[in-house]
Amino acid sequence: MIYDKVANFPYPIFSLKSNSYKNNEFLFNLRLNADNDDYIFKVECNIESEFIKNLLEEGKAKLVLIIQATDNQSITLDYPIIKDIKISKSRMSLEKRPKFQLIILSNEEINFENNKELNEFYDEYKSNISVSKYALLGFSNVEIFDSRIVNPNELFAKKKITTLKTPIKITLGPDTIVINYKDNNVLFDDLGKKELNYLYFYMGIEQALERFIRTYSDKINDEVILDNMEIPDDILDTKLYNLMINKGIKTLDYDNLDEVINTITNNMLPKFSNAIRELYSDEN
Amino acid sequence: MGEDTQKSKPDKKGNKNKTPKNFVANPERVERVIINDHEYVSFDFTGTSKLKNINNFDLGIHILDGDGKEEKEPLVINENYNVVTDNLTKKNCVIEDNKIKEISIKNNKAAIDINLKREYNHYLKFIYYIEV
Repeated sequence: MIYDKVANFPYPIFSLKSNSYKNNEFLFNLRLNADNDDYIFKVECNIESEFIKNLLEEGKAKLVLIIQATDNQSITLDYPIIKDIKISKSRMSLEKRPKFQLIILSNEEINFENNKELNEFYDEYKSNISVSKYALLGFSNVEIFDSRIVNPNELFAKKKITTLKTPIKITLGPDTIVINYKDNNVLFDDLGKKELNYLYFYMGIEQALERFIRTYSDKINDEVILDNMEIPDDILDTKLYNLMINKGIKTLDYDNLDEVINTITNNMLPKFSNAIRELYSDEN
Repeated sequence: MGEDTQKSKPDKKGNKNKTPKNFVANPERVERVIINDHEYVSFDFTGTSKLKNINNFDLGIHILDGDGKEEKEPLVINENYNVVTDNLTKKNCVIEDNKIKEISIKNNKAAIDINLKREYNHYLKFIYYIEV
């Protein structure tokens, strides 16, 4: 299984989603190649914990690549990783949005007494902590391959509909926020300053994030804890999710909506207002 | 139908003052360990606004199953835990409505020490629900 909904384990877990280890970075990424019959994945990973690295090097633990597509597969990797991973195209379809994750499993009983990298909470307990063979010791971030998500920044589409009842109507499509417009005049494409359209983009993102909150919040507080949610099935929501995660945003609610938009759009509104100011000063 | 759900915006502020408040503790804020027949859990709420000026909270415990999904039924506390001690007050916590009641918070931190029943499954993964 893929660990994307995080929980509290009864022992220390090495993962960015846990603070058990003081240095908890366990990142991996995949680079995809293909030949006629196979997908070829180049796996890269960074394990910040010396304790974990030693276990892997000594063979007391193993690194496993989990692939969740139509079925689940797990492939034990050498450590350090040397070989690329080949997966037959007949076994996996990128259309099915496969998810990938690296996990670390114990090969024998592991004691934490000599683990100097745990946080202070474990100081008084760690000499007594041990986990059995095949226990999960750590997990990485999750990577998704989606042939439809070519560029996560392609968040917007513009569509002219002359029969529209209003000058602008924003709709949320399957993979983009659509700015529907009645007439070329309402957009600023002819002025050569794309930033002038940012106001519409802002409105669009706001709508999309409000729907995001309604869909994924815990309903009681209207708050989404991003680390805690599963990766959405919806493509547009996945793009928003990735944008937020990549910018280090932890929670989304109605109160921090504007801050989140500002962060994920790299200050879109100031760019809009600067463009107006430039036009104004050009005129004069 | 999609149109409808998009348009019916919730009232942004009016919703929020309802009591009680209930939220999932981000696992990064919780440390948990089992040693023999004891389980130790500590919470650090530093930096969250939800528990400002609040002295205690109630705790519900939900289980994540083998497929990574949250089970419908929460952990039945009375069937698994003998005694829950509040580490700050050293008093035993009341267990009521399947919640551990009034765990005290000091300097944004809280901790409990649980004496486990013999039949308790030591491999469960939990999601903690905080109610204030």
